[in-house]
Order: sequence, then C-alpha cells, then structure tokens
Amino acid sequence: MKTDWNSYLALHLESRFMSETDRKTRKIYYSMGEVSEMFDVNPSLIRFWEQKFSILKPEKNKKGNRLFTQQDVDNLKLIYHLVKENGMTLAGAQKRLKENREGLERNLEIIERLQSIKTLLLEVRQELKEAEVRVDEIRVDADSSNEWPEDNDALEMMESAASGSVSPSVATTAQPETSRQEESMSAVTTETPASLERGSGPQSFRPQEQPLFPEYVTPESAITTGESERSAEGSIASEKVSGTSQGEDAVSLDEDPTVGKRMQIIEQTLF
Amino acid sequence: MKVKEVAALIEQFAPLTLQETYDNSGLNIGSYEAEVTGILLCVDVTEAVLDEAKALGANLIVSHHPLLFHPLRQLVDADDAQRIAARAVREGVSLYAAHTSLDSAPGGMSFCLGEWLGLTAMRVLDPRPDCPDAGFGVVGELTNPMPMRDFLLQVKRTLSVGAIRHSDLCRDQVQRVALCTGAGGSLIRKALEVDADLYLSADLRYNDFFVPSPSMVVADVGHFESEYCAIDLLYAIITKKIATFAVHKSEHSINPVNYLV
Repeated sequence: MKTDWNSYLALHLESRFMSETDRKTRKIYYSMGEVSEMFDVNPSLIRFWEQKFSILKPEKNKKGNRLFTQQDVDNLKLIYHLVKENGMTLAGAQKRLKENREGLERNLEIIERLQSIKTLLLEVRQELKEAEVRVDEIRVDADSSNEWPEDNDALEMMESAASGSVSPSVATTAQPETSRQEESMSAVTTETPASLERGSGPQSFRPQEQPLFPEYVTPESAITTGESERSAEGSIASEKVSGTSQGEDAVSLDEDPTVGKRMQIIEQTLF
Repeated sequence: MKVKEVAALIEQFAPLTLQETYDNSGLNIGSYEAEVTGILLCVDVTEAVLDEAKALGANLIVSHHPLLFHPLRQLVDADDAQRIAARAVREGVSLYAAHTSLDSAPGGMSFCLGEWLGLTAMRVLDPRPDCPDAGFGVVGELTNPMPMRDFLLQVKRTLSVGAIRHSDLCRDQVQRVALCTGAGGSLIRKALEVDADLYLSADLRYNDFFVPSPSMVVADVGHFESEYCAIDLLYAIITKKIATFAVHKSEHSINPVNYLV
C-alpha cells in the first residue's frame, strides 16, 4: 500500500503541534482581551467600532462581558483592514462593507495568501543562501558568487506583486491607471506597512512564527516537493491573482502584464 | 543546516522525552554544530552503511536503532559497535537515532506499519500514562473482514517477510488487528484486552505462541521487516522541510536475518 505522506504527517504531526492554533480557531468565543490582543488595539476602540458598525454585535454573558464569535473576529478583520490599514473614514468603511463585502473578503484572502507565499519565498531564499555559503566553503570558486543580486530583484518583484505597486521600470506607463483606481486599489493592496518594511530588509527579516509544516499546503508542497511540481506554484499564484479581477472593484493584478513575467522570473531565479 | 536543526525537526515529531529509560535515542556520535552535507537513513548502522554514507557524501546518519545501545567500556576494535563508533568519529560522521521515541510518538512506527497494512481508525495499544496519545503499538480495523490466512499472506508480501511464524489459526476471519513494531511480545495481553483478532509483532518467544485465548492469533513478522518503515517515516519527516541537501534511503540497511525455505 502506498502511503500518502503528506496527509499522514498532516494527520499525526500538524494536528498535534498546531493544536493550540487549531483550538483557537475552533474556539466558540473569544474574550475582549484576546480580541484586542489579536489586533493589537485597545478594547475601547473595539467597543467604539461596535457602536459604529452594525455588523459587529458580540454576545454578552451574564456578567456583561463581550463574547466574540469567529464571525465577529472576521468582521473585525474587515473593519481593521478598511479603517486602520486603508485609513478610510468610518462612514466610508460602512459604505464599503454594505456595498461589496464579498469582494473585500476575497481581497483580504488574496493578500494573506500572497503574504504567506512571500514569507515562504524568503524562507527558501534563506535556505538557498545557507547552501550557497556551504558550497562556497567547499569549493573556493569565485565564479558562482554573483547570483544573489538577481535573487534580490526577484524578491523585490514579489513584494511589489504582493503590494500591487508598480515596479520602477513600468512606473511611467502604469501611473495614470493607478491614480484612477486609487480607492479600489488601496482596498486590495494595502498590507500592514510594518510587515512590508520588515520584508523589504531581507537580511533582518525573520518570520515571527515559522510553523514547521505551514498550513498553506499548496504553495508549500509545490516548492518543497521537487522539480515536477515547481511550475504548479506559479500557476497557483496567478490563479489567485486572476481571481481578483472578478471582484468589481478589485485591482486585477493579472491585467498588469508584468506580473506574469515577474512570476516567471521569480521561478527561474529561485529554482 | 546543522545537525541540531535536523535533530530538532525529528524531535518535533518524536520528542526524546518519549524514549524508554533503557534506550539511547538522540545524537550518539558527532556534533550538533556540524554542517550537514547529506543524510543517510537506515534501520541499523553497519560498516556497509558507513561506506554508503561516505560514497554519497553524507555526514549524518539517522538510524532507528542506536549504535550505542549498551554502554561501551572501551573504544577499541573489540566489536562492531566500537569499530563503527571509532570510524564515525574519525570520518566526521554524526550518528543520530530515533528509536523508542519514534516507536512511541503519535503517528510513530506502529501507526506507520498499520497504515501500510491498511488499518483504519487506529489508536494506541498501550498508551503512556503521562501522554495518552503516545505509547507502544496500535490497534485498528481492516475496512472489511477478510480470511485470516489471506491477510497473513498479504502481510508477508507487503513486508517481504521470508516466513511468518504464527500461532494456531483459531480465527477464520480477521478485522481488528493489533500490532507493535519490533520486539512486542510483552503487549500480547494488551492486544487481548482490546479484543483483537490478530496480533502482529516480532521477536516472539516460544511461550508467546501459547495465546491464553482461543480467539486471537499471534504472528511474528520479523524485527527488521516490521521496522523497515522507519526509513520512510524519517524520510517523510525530514524532507517535509529540508530541501538544501540530499536525503538518501540506505540500500545497505539490510535484514541480518536470512530465511532458508
């Protein structure tokens, strides 16, 4: 019998070692303390948002403490994204939530996916770097040492793909379109600035938490399981990106002709 | 990547705290700080495996059985363990073993063998008091009951066992199977407690075949055969993460037991 090791390990390892996270996501209620910690904001801000956004209505226990469901947390994510990350006014955010909630959710999911791919790529690069150092130690052959700058380019491109910004080389042509779609653009593309900043300094970048076997199985396995599946990674990424274009006000990253090419370059450079 | 990082990866699956007091899992020889050039996986560390590692350029051997199991009183070339230990030190090869820690780990050796043999709904046969998800052996069910004899023949084929020694085939059909990789004679009673139709293990003694119940069959499928899955399990654990150097499955990790049929 042929063992499917991916699911075997998922069953026996991931469930075991990610059980705390799992438990959290499966938990029925979150307390105010947990929620405010999750978003790193004051409880007062969440109470304020609760007044302002009708979609946010946590239950309360007998003592009057708020009990947030997963749905409440998801709603908070959207509000946080619009108000804190995009700097929208409360009225603007309310309107957006009413008009196109689905599109917003999709965008958030895409951003999260791209960020996790970026983290993964940075991790891969780190490992490649370590391998390179070893190779250098073994063969003192100076010729192969100028490969890393290319790799940096690839990661910068990845970052700009993830953030939806336009790479310097095509900035002039793409600029007008960018400003026309400014509002919708920001809805899709804004990342937590802090995480981007960290990302742009690859030397200092260390994902805070590196789960041994990350949950996002598809890109992970595409990269780590070998040559035959490598091309799948690119197509997954572009599939996700093209998903964006279906959202009415979503910025379609795949309309940007450079994205596909970037993906290709990233793949070629990394592997 | 360093030896300690590979060790951490294995220990995340099979923590050393799960090993038995008599065991010596963990790094037996070498350095946690050594940079790994390649990994060779085997059941036992032998001279042939060391040769193989050298030929492959691998400086870390991960085995199921620890080379240093009985304490050494001297390091001369009095026996294989000493010769191999000295050679590993000389050649800068690190030896890491995941033995009873890998046996007891949730999803460890017995789960792995059960998976190979088509068992479902597996649970630990002898759970540890301190960690009920861990422990020796598993008990699980075949999806459909099948003739005992056919199942044993299927096991023989799957694990390439030269010959299966078994007690009286007092049951025609088998559905619930208990098993324990390696020497598991001591768990026969546990298998009876869970009403298994069949108990598979290795290194069973003469008296073990007098099963104190007319309803369970015991069978000895061979120590090496039952533990060969260690190589695949370790391979899956390690390659899930590491991509910067080669991980090899030993071709010279062979069964020391031969069958004349």
